Amino acid sequence: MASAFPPVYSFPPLYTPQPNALIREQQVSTWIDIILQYCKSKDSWCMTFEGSVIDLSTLMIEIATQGIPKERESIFKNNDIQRAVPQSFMEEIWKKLVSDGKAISTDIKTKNSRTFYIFWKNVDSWASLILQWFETTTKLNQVVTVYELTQGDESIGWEFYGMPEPMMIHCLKPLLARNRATLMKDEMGKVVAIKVV
Amino acid sequence: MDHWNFIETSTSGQPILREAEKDILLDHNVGLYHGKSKILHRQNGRIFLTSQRIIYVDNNDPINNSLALELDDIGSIEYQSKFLKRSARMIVFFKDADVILHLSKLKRENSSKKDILTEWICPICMFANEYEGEFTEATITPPVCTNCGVPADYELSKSSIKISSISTSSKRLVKKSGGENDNICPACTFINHSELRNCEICGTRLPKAKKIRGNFNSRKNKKFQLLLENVSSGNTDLKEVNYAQFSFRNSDGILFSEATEMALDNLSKARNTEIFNKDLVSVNGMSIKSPVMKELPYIETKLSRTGISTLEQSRETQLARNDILLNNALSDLSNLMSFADDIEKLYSRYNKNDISSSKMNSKQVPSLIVDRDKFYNKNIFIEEIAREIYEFATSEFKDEQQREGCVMISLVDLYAMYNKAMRIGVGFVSPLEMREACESFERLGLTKLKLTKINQRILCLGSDNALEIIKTKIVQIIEQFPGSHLLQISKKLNEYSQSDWTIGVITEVLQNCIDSGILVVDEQLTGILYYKNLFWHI
Repeated sequence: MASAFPPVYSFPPLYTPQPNALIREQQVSTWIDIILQYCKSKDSWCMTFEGSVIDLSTLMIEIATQGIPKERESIFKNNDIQRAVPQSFMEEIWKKLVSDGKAISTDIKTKNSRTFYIFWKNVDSWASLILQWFETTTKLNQVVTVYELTQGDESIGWEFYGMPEPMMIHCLKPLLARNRATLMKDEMGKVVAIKVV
Repeated sequence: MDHWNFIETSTSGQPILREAEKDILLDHNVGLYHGKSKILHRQNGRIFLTSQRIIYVDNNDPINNSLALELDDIGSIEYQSKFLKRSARMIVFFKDADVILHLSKLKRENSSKKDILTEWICPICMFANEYEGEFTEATITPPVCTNCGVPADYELSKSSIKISSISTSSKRLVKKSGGENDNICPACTFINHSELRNCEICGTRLPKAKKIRGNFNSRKNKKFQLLLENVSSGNTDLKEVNYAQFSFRNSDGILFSEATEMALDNLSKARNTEIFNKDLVSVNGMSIKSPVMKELPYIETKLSRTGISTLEQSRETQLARNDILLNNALSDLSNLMSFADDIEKLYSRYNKNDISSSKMNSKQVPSLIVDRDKFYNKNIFIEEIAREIYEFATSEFKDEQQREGCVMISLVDLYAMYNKAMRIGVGFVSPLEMREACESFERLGLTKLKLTKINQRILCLGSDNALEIIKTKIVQIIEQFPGSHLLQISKKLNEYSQSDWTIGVITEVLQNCIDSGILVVDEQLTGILYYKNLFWHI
């Protein structure tokens, strides 16, 4: 696993919030890079506050069966050099991730969930990728369900294959803003389908 | 002119005092006059009144332009207060050197008269007699020969009369070791080196100092010259001028002149009262007055008996005595040698253990006592402590300076050291005073050390480049040993440069490095570990 990380990952001072403000800023962005890289390499969309990647569906099952999630491998903990990021510094990193738009709380409405969707591409490039999908699959002006978009056979091989639905809806927002897409909701108000023109 | 003496000063502009010399008072902004004319380049300085001298330390060039007057040379002083543009003055009248010499000569003659011993040979039995007092034609009652009982006839024994002066033990000592050329302390009778001016043992001024001083000065300091302002006008009477003036530009000088007067009084009092061993009756149980055993008779001259048999007898006793004496001398010598060996051993051990401290010890000289009571106002006091602190710091860190070319100490450490080393007994200085003193270094022309603020909070006293030098050293060490903590760094640093950087200074330097982004930290339970910043740009 360590080989996937840049050399800075085994540099002990990385795990201590640096007192120098300028350095601290760079340190946080180094962390963000590491997290995004990590999620991308693992094809993962979600990460807990403690820094371990999860699959939301399996998480639900785990909670249901075991009550509490078990101790998982965390990006913030480096056992090779016996270092871990302290809680307060994790908070700072997440705050920065969220404010940069590179992460979003899984509980999109209340924003107080301890798990996050990680955007290892920014929202705009996701949106343009989705648009590209519509163009190549000639689905323009057709209604496509969100499930079809994320899990369908035609999406296999695309980077957004397997993306959680709430995250996908978030990614469609730039298209909505450009009036290229219309969302269709069910009677509960949940987005189920989309039409891109 | 020869009353003015050159005086050595330290680099910080404090005069170097003699043994047993104590400073009493100090005044600022004083100019010197010889007679009526100004002495050039000595118009702005501080004067110190000490128990032995009045010392002038020039503000502009303290090392070359400082002067001193012996209090012994001063006959009397007079004070003139400020009048219009003329500033307050203290006029110092010198004692006439010839008068002093004359007086002392007279005294000597008087004292010697009582202790004259006349040796004469009886013209009848040829016995060598001794007579206390001078035996001349005028002697009314001629001495009687101890051998044959016939009173001496001056005319007949004239050719054999030898007159020699003799007195108490100290005077005999004088005579024996060559009289005139010795420099004997009047207080403790120690025979000093002929070029010394004050007794090596007790610090008393030596009576011969005046004679010696002339050539001493000219040899020691050829460049020492006093230039007067209007030399041309008064060239001829320069030598006859026997007074000097101190002009007080800032203060009224009353206090100073009063203190000088008091010091003069004390000095003359001390001269009359303080004679060491003055009521001495016996030394090691031997009465001083008795002539017995004053010296061991190598050759018995006073033969009380006559005849060949007595001569033989005396010869034998003399041989026996010499034998004993030689034996004693040899055993004493071997004792002495063993002592010397012990001392040598002790010295070499001590030397090995602590070279630096022994060096320091040998350099110690009495220093000024900077006492608050001597100063008129705070500024003067601060300036004086500034000089003292500067002197203290430079001498204390001389070794570091030589080894690494830089000195650095945090003001907190210096404060503790200075107060512990210099201020006990004279009252500690406050941290604020210390700081003000250090801030005034530049103003006083003390440039080797500078007060710098590290990290906008800690004041350090150091040489100009000190911070950079230590910084590079520490960074080097951390490069070699990434993840060192403070203790390791200070250990390495001190090993590497064989000096003692205090933890305080190192902490500050580390902090400085962190603030500038050269180093980064890794906080662990065991402490903070330092790393060189390899990944992030500043």
